[in-house]
Order: sequence, then C-alpha cells, then structure tokens
Amino acid sequence: MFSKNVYLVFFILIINYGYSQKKEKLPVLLKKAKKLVEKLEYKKAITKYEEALTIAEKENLKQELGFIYKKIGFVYFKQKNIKQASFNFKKCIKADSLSQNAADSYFNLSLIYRKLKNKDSLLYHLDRSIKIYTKQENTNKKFNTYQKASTLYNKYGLYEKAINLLLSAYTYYEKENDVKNKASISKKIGITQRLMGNLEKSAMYYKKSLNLNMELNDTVEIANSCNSIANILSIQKKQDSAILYYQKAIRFKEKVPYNKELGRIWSNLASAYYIKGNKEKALTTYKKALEIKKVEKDSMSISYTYNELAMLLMEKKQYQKVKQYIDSSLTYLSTINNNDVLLRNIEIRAIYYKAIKNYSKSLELREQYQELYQTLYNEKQSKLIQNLQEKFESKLKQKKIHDLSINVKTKSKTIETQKYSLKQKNWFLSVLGILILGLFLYFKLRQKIKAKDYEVKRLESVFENQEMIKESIGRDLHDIVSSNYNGIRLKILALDKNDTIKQKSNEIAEELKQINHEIRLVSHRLSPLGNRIKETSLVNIINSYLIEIQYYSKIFIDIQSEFPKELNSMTLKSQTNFYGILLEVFNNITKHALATKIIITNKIDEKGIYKIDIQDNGKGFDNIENEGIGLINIKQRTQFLNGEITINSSNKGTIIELLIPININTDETT
Amino acid sequence: MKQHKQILIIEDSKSFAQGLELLLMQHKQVENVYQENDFDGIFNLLKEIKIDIIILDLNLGIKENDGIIISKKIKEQYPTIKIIVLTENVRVYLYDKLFNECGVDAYIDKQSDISQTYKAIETVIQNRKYVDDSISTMVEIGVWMRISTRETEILNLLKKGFLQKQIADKLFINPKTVESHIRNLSQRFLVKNTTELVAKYIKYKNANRENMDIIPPFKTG
Repeated sequence: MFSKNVYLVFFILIINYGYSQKKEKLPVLLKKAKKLVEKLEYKKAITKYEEALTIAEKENLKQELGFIYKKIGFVYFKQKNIKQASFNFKKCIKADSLSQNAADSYFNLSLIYRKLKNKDSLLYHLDRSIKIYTKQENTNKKFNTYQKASTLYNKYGLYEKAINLLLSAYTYYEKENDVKNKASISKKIGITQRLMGNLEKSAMYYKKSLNLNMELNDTVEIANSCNSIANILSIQKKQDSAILYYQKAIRFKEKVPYNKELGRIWSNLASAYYIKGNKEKALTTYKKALEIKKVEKDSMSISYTYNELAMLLMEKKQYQKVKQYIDSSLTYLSTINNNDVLLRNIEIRAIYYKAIKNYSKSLELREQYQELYQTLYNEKQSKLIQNLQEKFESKLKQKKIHDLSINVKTKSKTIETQKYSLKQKNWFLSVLGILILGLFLYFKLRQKIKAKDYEVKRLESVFENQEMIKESIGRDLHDIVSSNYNGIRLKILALDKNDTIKQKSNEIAEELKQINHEIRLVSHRLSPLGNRIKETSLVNIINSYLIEIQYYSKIFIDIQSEFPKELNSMTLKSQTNFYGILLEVFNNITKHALATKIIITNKIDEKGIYKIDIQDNGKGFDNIENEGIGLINIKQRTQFLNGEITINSSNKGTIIELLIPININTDETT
Repeated sequence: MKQHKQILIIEDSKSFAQGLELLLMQHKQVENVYQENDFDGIFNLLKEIKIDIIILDLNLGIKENDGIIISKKIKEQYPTIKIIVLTENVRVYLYDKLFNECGVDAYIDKQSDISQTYKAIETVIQNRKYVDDSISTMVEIGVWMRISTRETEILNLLKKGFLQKQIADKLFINPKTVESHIRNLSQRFLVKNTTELVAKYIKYKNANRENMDIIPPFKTG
C-alpha cells in the first residue's frame, strides 16, 4: 500500500514537471531572443520569437502572444522594415487589444506614421495608445511613453494634451520620488508653456527644473535650465536677471568637456549686454563667443556673431573693422542656409554703406532686405496661418469624431432595442408556427384516419357484393340442377313406359346439352377469362365470344371498328374485369332484351381513354333501381378499372357506354 | 386401305369415354377402340399398337389444354395418325391454332350429335379435314365480321338489287374494282356465284335466323 502511494505521488510530480516544463519553455525562449536583440542578431532573434509565437498560439496565451508580436515588430522596426514592423504591431493589437503591449504597439505605429509623414494616422494611434495607457496601472514605462508622446503633441500644437500627460507623469514621479524624471518633466512643461506663449509659467517650470537638477547635481541640465530661464528673462526684458542666469549657465557649461551650446550662451549673454546698453561688455563678450564658436565650428552662430560685432563697431565708426566683420559673416553664411542671419547681414551692410556714404549700394541692399523680409515674412505668415488652420482643422475633426461617436452610440442603442423587439417577435412567431404545425398534423392525421375508414368501408362493401354474387350464382346453379336434372331423371324413369325411345332419348340428349350450356355460362361468368387468356389474346377471345353470341343467340352483331390492340397490354386483372363487364352486358341482352341487333363501336382517344358503346335494339329495362346481380357486377368491375359507365335505356333499346383509362390499367411488365 | 380402323380415345371423363366407345363401335369402319388419359399411357400404347385415329379431348387433367401439347407431340412422332379434336372448348380462336399450329385433322364440338363424329371419321380417313358444322358456321361469321367497309358497301348495294355497273357509279369506283371485290368475297365464302354470296350475306346479317319474324330468345344452344 505504501509503495502504491509513492508511485501515485511520483506520477503526479512527473505530470506537473512535464506540464511546467512546457510553460517554462516560453520565458526561456523570450530571454534568449532578448539577448539576441541586444547583440543585434536580429534575424536569429526573430526566429526565436516565432518559435515562442507557435507555443503561445497553441496554448492560446493572449498576453504572451501580444507581447511577442510587439517584440517582433520592434525588431523589424530596428531593421527599418516598416511594413513588417507595422504588420506585427497590428497583430499585437489584434491579439490582446486592451493590454499595455497593445498600447506600446499603438505608440510605435504612431512613430511609423511620423516617418511616413501621415499626421492623421499618427495622432490617431497616439491617442489610442494614451487611451489604453490611462487605464493601465502606473509604471515607469507608462510615464516614459507619456513624455515621448508629449513631445509629439507639442510638435503638432496639441499643447493641452501634452501638458495633461506631463502633469500626470509629474504626479507619479513625485510619488515615486524620482527627482531626475521630475526635473525632465518640469523642463518639458516649460518648453510647452513657452510654445503656448505663457512666459511666466514657462519660467516657473524652468526654475523648478533647475532646482531639481541642482539636487541631482546634473551640470549639463543645470546649465540648460539656466540658459532657458535667461532666454525667457531676456524676452521679458529683464536683462539683468538674464545676464545673471547666462553667466550661471556659462559657469556650469564650462565644466562640461564638449558642448556646442557654450558659444551660443556667450552670444546670448553678449546680446543681453547689448540690449542693456553695455556696448563695451557686449563687444568683448561677442568676441569671446566668437572664439568659442570657432572652436565649436558652429558656422551659423559664427556668422551671427560677426553680424552683431559689425553692428556694434558701426556705432564706434570703426568702419574698416565693420567691413571685415561683414565679410567674415558672409563667408560663413555662404556655407549655411539661414535666412534670418542673412537678413540681419543685409541690414547691417545697408547701414554700413549708408555710413560710408555709398548711398546707391545702401539703397540696393535696402531693397534686397525688403524683398527677403517680404519672403520671410510671407513664409512666416503662411506657416503661421497653416499652423492655425491645422489647429482649427484638428479641433473640427475632434468635434466631428465626437459627434459621430455619439451618433454611433445612439444608433447602437436603437439596434439593441430593435434586436430585443425582434427577439420577442421571433419568439412569438415560432410559438405560432409550432401551433400551426400542430394543427396541420392533427388534420392530416384525421384525414388519414378518414381515408382508412373509407377504405375499410369500401372493402366491406366489395366483400358484401362478392357474397351477394356468390349467393346468386349458387341459386342459379341450384335452380338449373334441381329443376332440370330432376326433370330428366323423371323422363328417363318414364322411358320404359314409352315406345318412341329414340325420339325421347334425342329429346333428353338435347335437354342435357342445354343444361350443360347454361351451367357453363354460369361458371363462365364466375371466372370470365379463366385459362383462355393463356391460349390467346384478349382481343381474339372477345371476337370469338361475339361470334359465339351471334351463332348461339342469333343476334346480329355489328362491330363497327376493330378492338384495339392496347386492350391486350392491360394487366390480367384489368383484362378480366373488362371481359367480365362484356359478359354481363351480353348476358343481359341475350337473356332479357329480346334484341335482334347489337352495334359495337370502340376506340382509344388521344388522352388514352378507351371508349366502347354497346347498343341493342331490345326492349330496354324499366328501372335501374331493380338492380340485378349483373348490374352490380358491372359497376364493381368498372370501379376496379377506374372507369365510368353510363346506361341509357328506353323501350327502343339500350346503350351502354364504358370509359376506361388504358394507361392506368396497363402493366409495364406485360 | 384397311377398312377396320384402330381408334384411341384420349379423354379424362371415364363415363364419357365408355359411352363414346359404345357409339363408335356401332360404326362399320371402326374395329377397335382404346382408351388412355395420361401422357405415359398414351405413348406406351402408341408404341405397341398401330393406331389410325385418335379422338382427343383438349382439357385433360389439371393443366388446361395439355391436349394441344399432346397433339403436337403425337404429330411429331406419328405423323400418319389422324387426330380428331372432340372438346367442349369450341372457340373460333382455337380453330386457327389447332389446324395450323398443331396440324389436327378435325375439330368437333363435344355437344354435337354423334353424327358429327362419324362424319369426321369418314372424312379424315380420306385424308381430308373436317370441321363441326357449328364451328364452321362460327368461323364463317368471323370472316363476315372482318370484311372491309368497301366490301360491305358493295354487298349492301347488291342486296338492294343494283347491278355491278350501277354500284361502280354510285361508289365512284371502277367497275373492274367492283368485279374484283365480288370475286374475292366469293372465294372467301366458297360460293359459286354472286346470288349465293348475297344469300349468305343476308343470312349472316340476320344471324342465321330462319324465320326473320321470330324474335329471340328461342331455344339457344
């Protein structure tokens, strides 16, 4: 007993192990695949992922499926295979539509659409991604995506959306005490506010970012924050504060080994000095900036600085130096394509030429300036208008989408109510249908029962008729035998008392012949065709019979048209019945009618109905009510033939018309 | 030719056969009368004794008309033996079968008078065929029933006393055609001349009633 339990336990363990083995396989695969991606072995990674796919599909693991599809999409994205990437992302969404994987896939798809420059699809997918994310639990990944999304929203002027995302991200990072991300978010909010034109708010957030960066001791970010703050202050015309911040920015930036922006900060500082009015300081600062920029090789910035330097020196009337600077600026300008700097350059040159009293050149340059300004202005205007238009359109689209969704909601509600009423109707109809079916079946059943009853009654009447016929024949035979044979018996007994034996014996012989004949007639009527049908065809038998009638009954029979051969094709039963009818008819005529002539016409018409008329010139029979056995026989046999019989009788004669459908009575086998 | 004939009666009614034997023996040309009623008995006898005439009933035993089969067999094996069919089964349609198919020599109604049988014996000895009067009359009726419409027209006009030429005019046919029809009919009904033909025709139309005024039924039989 003990060993049995052990075996059972082992068995369970093995099953579990095997089962869990299968489950473990999947994570192992995924880990391997991840490593391959990190090693940039993309093809191998995809193969591993696809293996994992088949397992996930077999076991119908929705979540894993979505994850794997996303990962595959990601790999393709890295390979720049946009088609496959988007295909897989879409598969991920299909597999597990409300999961984080789906949200990521939506986001990645929006990035793809950014590449394809399809703004509407981009925004649509981005919205969907965010929508799913908002329902997900708060994770770093989620808010990381929020940050990226906000950048995209900023690009398309959807500032409010961007800010909403950033604010909710900030709340999360506050809870998590994630200072770095808080700083980054603050900065991003600052950027957004600035784009929205809210300078104060923007400055506030930049300052917040600065403080957080100070906590983190992030030199680069501190410098950037200072610079941003200083920029705003400068626009706000708070030059002193701006200068301070610029200086701070420079201080921190200098600590960082290589940074392109240092030169720019210097020139910012220089322009701040200039605006403040401290031209000397501005001059020296510009020169410093120039130095650094030359090291940085920032051409645009250099030309820009040269412009400003030239301007400065213009006031000092150091025209030679001014010319120098203008030319230097031009040199650097030729390598880049910046219209703003060029414009400034033209402006300065115009002023210069005016100063050295080269009025024509100055005028020329002024005109140049105007032109360029116009173009730039128009460009800027049209850009602005385009922006506004886009904003308006997107708002309009959103409204439309909103309206449509409401529409859809109301429509689906009507559909629901309609479905419900339809369901009710269906239910009602099906119940009705069953009732009707029930009634129908009931009536059918009744019909069947009625038909059966009718059949039974019919058979009963047939049986009764047969009994009557048999009875009558029995009576006939009895009459013939009893009356006639007794007579003959007596005649024979009387023979020895008589002389003329020969004569008497002839008489007796004659009488016996007669009796024989009558008996044969009776038996004939009992079984009309009997074995005769084996000897020859029905038509021959009928013709023979009619000849016999003519011979024995001495009634002239006029057969006006031959009996059709189709009668021979009828079934034996039908032939018997037909011949039986003829026997009865002729029996009637020969026994009762006292006719001298019988006319028979017969034919088959196009519809296959056989018609025979038997007309005699006898005395007719008075009332058909007095139906003899013969008439019953005739009627019954007609019924068996599916035929119709009409009897018209007067004192001038009788016509009997019989209609038989030949086809029904024909057997294919005969 | 041997005067005294050996006769075999094939009949299943013993009493009838005995009665017939008695009557046959009264005939001067009959020497011996034998009786058999089954297949084997018949052919055994035939092997032993040289029979001249067989009087055959058609309805022997259970199987109807095995008489026909026996007659065929006998004619096969003993073609010289004359067969007289004596049967109740008097049908016009059997006439053709018996004479043409089976090759019998006589066909007599059992109901008829013995004189018919005597006549038959005498006729078949002379190698001629004999048919009962009733049968031959019936056969003739059959032939009358089958004459064509044209022939009927001609006969009706002849009956009324018209001459051949007048008939031709009335019917819009060639007098030669009329003549050929009349010749044809005369051959068929074995008459010597047109008068006899017409007489026969009238008789036929009156169903052989001798007295046209008498209305049947009289003694049918």
